[in-house]
Amino acid sequence: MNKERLKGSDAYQEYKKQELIFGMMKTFLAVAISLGIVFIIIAIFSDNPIAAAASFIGGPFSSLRRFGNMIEASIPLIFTGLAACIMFQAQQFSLIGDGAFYLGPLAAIAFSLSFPDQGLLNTIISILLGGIVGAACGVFPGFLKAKWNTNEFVVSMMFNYVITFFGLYILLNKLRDPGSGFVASFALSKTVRLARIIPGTKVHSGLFIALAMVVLCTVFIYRTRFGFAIRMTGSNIKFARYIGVNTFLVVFMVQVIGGLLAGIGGTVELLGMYDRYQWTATLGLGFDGMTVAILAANNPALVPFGALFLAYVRVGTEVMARVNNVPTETVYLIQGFAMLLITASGFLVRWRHKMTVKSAARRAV
Amino acid sequence: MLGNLVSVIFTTSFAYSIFRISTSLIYAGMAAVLAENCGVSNIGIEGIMLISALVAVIVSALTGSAFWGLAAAVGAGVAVAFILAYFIFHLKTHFVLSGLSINMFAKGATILMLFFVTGSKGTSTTLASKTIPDVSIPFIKEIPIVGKIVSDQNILTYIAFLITGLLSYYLYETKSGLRIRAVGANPEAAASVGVSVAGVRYKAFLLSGVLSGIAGAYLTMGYMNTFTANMTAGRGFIALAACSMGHNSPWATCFAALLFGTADALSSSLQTINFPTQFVQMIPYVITIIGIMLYSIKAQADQHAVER
Repeated sequence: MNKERLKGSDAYQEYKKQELIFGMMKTFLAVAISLGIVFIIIAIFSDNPIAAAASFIGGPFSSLRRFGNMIEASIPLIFTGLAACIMFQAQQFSLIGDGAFYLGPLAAIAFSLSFPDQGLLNTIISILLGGIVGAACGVFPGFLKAKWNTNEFVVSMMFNYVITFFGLYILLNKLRDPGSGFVASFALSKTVRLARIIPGTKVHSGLFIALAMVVLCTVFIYRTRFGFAIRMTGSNIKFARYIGVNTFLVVFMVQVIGGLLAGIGGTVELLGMYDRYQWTATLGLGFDGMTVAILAANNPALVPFGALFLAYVRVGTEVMARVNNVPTETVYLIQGFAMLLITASGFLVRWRHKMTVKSAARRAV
Repeated sequence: MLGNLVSVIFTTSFAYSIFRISTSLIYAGMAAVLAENCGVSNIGIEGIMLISALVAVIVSALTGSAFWGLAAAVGAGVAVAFILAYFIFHLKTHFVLSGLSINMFAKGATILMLFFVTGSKGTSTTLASKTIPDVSIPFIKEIPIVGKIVSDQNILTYIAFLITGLLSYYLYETKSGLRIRAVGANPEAAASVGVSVAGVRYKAFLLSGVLSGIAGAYLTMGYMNTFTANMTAGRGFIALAACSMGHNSPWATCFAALLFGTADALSSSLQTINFPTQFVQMIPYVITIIGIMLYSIKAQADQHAVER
C-alpha cells in the first residue's frame, strides 16, 4: 500500500487522531501528577500550605516584574528546547546543547569586545558567531556518531567537560576583568546588548529571535526534504537508509544544528540578560531543553509552550520560596517526575489499548 | 615552575590522595560496568549516589552507627535503581531520558530532604553523622614510602579493590555473570535459549544500585563527613566515562577511575602553584573520547569483516 493511500484511509486518520489525543492526555496527566506531588510536599513543609500553594500558582502573575521573569526565563529554554527537539526527532540523545550554550556566547563576547563597531552590526555578528561556535561544538560528537556509531550521549558529555574547561581557561586568562569583584569578563557595551521590550521587566528582543527560530524549525522539520529525512531516520534508521536517506548526513547534522541553536540561545541570553560573561560552569540548560522537548512531544511548534510552562513552574517556586519555607529546588522534582511519566510509553498503555479496541469494534459493526 | 611541579607530584601525600579521591569513582565505575554489561547504561548513577550520600548522613546521625548509615545508603541505592529499572524495562522509557530524570529528581529531592531534616539548604553540618574509619595495616605501615601511601586509607578504599576483583570473577567466571554478559551482547540470542532478559537486567540494575549506594555513602562518610548540596558534582557521569574508557571491564575501569582521580588530585595540587589547571583536568576526558573513538572504529571494522 503506498503512502498516499495509507494517509487517505479513514483508519489511518483515526489512528493519528487517537495518537494525538492520547499523547496530550498523557502529558497533561503526567504534569498533573507531578504538580500533585509538589502540593503534597508543600503541605508537609509549609506552616501555611494554602498560602504557599497560592503563591506558587499565582506567583508568576502577581506582579509585572515576576511575569517578566517568567518570559525572560523561557527565552533560553526555547532555544535549548528546539535544539533537543531536532536531535530527538532523529533519536539522537546528545547533551551537546549544554556545551554549545556555554562556549558560543564566550566566543561572541570575545569578538564583541574587540570589534571596533559597538552597535547593531556588532550584535548581529556576535549572535551569528555564537551560533557558529555552537555548531562547531556539535561537529565532533556528530561526526563520531555518524562515522563510527560512537555513543553520542557519552561522547557529548565528555566533550562538554572539555569545552567547559577550555572556556574557563579562556575566561580566566584572556577575558577576565581584574577590576571586577568576581570572575567575569570585561563589560559589554550597552549599545551591543539587546533592547528591553517591556518596560519594568528585563524581557528583551531576544524573544523575537526565539520565536522566529520556532517558526523556522517547525517549517524545517515538517515542510522540508531534510526535515523528512530527520523524521524518517528517527522512526527507523535502517528503513530510512534503505529508501535512500543519507542517514550519515542526518545523524551528523542534527547535532550540528542542535549546537547552532544552543549557541545562538546562549549568546541571546548573554546579550539580553547580562553585561558581563560570568559563567564558570555550564548552566544545565541542555538538560532543561530536553524536558522542554519532551513536554512539547518533540514538536518545535509546541516548544514555546513547554518552555513557558517550565519557566512558570520555576518562577512559581521562586516566589513560593520567598514567601514560604519551601525550597526552590522543588522544581527539579516536578521536572524529573514529569519527564519520567511522559516518556514512559508503558504509562497508561492499557487505556490506549482500550481506545484502539473500542474504535476497532465500532469499525467492525 | 617545573621544580615546584615535581615537589607537588612526587610526594607520598599526593599518591595517598589519589586513592582517597578515586574510591567513590571506583564504586560508581563498577556500578556502570554492571549495567553496561547487561546492555543498558545506568545514566542514573549520579542521582542514586546523591540520594545515598544524604541517606547515609541522616541514618548514621539518627542511629549513631556508621554501619547502619552505610546499610541505609545501600538500601536507598537499590530502591532508586529499582524505580529506574521499572521505568526502563517495564514501562519502556528510554534509558537516557529516565536516567536523566532520576538525576533531576535526586537533585531536588536531596535538597528538600536536607532542608526538612536540618533546616539548611546547603550542608548537613548540624547533623552528628558518623564516618567509616581509616585503618592502618600492621606490617605494611612500616615500609618506607609504600606504607605512607597504602596504609591508613579508608576501609571502603580497600574494599573497592576487593569489589573490583569480585566483580571481575563474577562477570567472567560464574554462570550468573555470564548471563548478564550474554544478555548484553545479544538479548535475542539469550532469550532464545531461555534466559529471562528482563530478569537478568533487573538483577544487574539492582546490583548497580548497591554499588552506587556505597559510592554515595563513601562521599559523606569517608571522603567528607557532611553532605553538601549537589556534592556528587558529576562523579556519576565520570564513572560512565571511566567505564567507557575501560571498555566495560572491571579492572580496566578501576584503572580508568584512578586516572580520573589522579587528574583531579593533580588539578587541586597545581592550583597552589598557579598552573592553568583546566588543561590538566581535560586530560582524562580527552583520553576517554579517544579511547571510545578507537574502540568504535575497531568494532565497526570487525562488523564489516563479519558481513563480508
